[in-house]
Amino acid sequence: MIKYFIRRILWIIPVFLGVTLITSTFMHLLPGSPFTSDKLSPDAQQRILAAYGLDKPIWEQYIIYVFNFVRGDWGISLSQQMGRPVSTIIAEHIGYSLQVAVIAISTVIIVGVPFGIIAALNHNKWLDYLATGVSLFFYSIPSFVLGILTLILILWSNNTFGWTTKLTNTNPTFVDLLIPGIVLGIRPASIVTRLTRASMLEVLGQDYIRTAGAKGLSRRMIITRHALKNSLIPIVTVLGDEFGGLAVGSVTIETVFAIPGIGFYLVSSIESRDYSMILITTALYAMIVVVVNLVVDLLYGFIDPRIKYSTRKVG
Amino acid sequence: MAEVKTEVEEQPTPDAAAIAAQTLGAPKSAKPSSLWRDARRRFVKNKLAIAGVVIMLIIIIPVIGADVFQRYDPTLSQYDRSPGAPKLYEQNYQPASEKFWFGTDGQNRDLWARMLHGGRVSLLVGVVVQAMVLGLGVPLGLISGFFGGKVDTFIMFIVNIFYAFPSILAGLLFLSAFGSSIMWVLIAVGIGLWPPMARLIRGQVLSLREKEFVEAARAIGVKNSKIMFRHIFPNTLGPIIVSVSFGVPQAIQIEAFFGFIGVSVPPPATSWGQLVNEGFKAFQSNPITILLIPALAIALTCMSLNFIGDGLRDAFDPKTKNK
Repeated sequence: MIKYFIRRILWIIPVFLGVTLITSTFMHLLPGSPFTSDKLSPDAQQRILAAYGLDKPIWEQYIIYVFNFVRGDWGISLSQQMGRPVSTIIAEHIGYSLQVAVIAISTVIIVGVPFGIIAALNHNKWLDYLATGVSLFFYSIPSFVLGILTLILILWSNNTFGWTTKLTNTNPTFVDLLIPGIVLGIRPASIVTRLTRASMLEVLGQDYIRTAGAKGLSRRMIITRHALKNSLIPIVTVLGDEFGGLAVGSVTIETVFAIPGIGFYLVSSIESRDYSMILITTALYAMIVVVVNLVVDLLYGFIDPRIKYSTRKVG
Repeated sequence: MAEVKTEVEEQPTPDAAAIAAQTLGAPKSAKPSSLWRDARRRFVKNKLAIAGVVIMLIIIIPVIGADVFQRYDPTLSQYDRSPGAPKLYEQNYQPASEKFWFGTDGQNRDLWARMLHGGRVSLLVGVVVQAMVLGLGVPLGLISGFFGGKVDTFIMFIVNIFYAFPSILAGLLFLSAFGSSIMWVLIAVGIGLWPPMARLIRGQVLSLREKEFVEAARAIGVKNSKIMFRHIFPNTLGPIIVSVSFGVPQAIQIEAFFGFIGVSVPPPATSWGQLVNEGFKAFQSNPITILLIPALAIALTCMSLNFIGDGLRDAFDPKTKNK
């Protein structure tokens, strides 16, 4: 168990190196640099590049970069918020992204799991058809399209009912982030609904459920004690996958709703060739995905003690 | 679940059917039901999937025949320059009318024609990207799963790094680095979609290569390459078809997102995502159709394709029928 744990944590290192290598290679292929300007003489541009260490060979920049990252020195933003440390910028904006992610994941758990259970318990009745139909509908719509349709709805209801729901906000509060967060959570919630239903149905067909019924347990007891617990395993996997997906999905939702989170800044950093911001944010996103996968794998052990870690393959 | 069981029992496996036919002396012309025939029968019975096929046909036919169905050139502004007509800028963003079915955009170009041609790009991306994913993911998955050992470790190492890399970000970097021609758009969309395919195939191969028929083939001295392509590969086709049918709408979605943030195919070409982008910038003070139509087109296409994918999955794997 501990050996497996250590091996999984060590796996983060090659992933990190791979991701930053890919990112920095691509970044240097981007045409232009943050300091390309007609107003600066070539000599001055050269001096600025030297000051930021951008004149060194790419491999050397990369090695320096990795060492600095490990030391916690994430460099300074090169264009957007010129001269400010990347870590400060991220610290300022990650809060919005996290709030959106928390609202989204809560939506997934609060909506997705119960609807799946309700559908399974009412198998082949109208509640089941309703839940599966609605989830298939929302599953099929890309989240940015759903976001846009929501925006249209907000605008329409503002005009029609004289509401004052704000479309965008430069300094959003938790309440402002509710709608984007729910929109972001709806698609993964539909996946979880379908999965919970399937998993629950499978468990309900097992022999031990019949046994529990035969020995006289109440239906409620059977569902909460036996069925629910055993149907959770695949759900946890998907929740983990979807959380990684939410991190990336937040890029799209933050763009649609103009939320000043990390995703929003990443897109504008790419436009302005802000090397250090791009490198850090993509690496962070990849790290989130890897760490969440690790946590999910370890969670299995708590939910299902039968799983032996040593036999599982990495990845 | 009971429903599923009865259905499975009704359908004897090919072997069982063949044995039954031999022992009972049934006429040889009675065809044993094959996986494909069963799948087709189950698919046709699925109402949602058939609805998906019908909607997709309604969308695909005008999009493929865009040159026939368009009423104006999608790249030309349709200004009325006759004396007494409104000023040119006042002619932009016309609402839907007899003349312009979907209205016009900010340069007074016919939205109907632009939707048709944009649909070409969107659907093309969906199909071509899946071809690329197959071309890369299937061989790598086959080799990785079949040979195991160091080859497997090496291939899976690369696959897992790409798997951890947020695909949309990879695509974004890619497009900003190489500029957005249709080829780079295809690669940028595909870059995040091949690792899951490789992993799927590898998993399939891992379980298939332990099966008796592979052992039998090995025992009579069949070559590795032949076992791989003649015996293992055909058995992975079901999951591949299902994965591709879900992959097409996924690719369309990713391209639409790239279009939406403005890094897809260069103008005057367009895609549904880019039309959403143009509509998004203008919808607050102009006819809402400019945003609603492309957004709905993406949603409807993805929905129909997902219905089809759902139907195919049920058709190829009756065990998951109710999932």
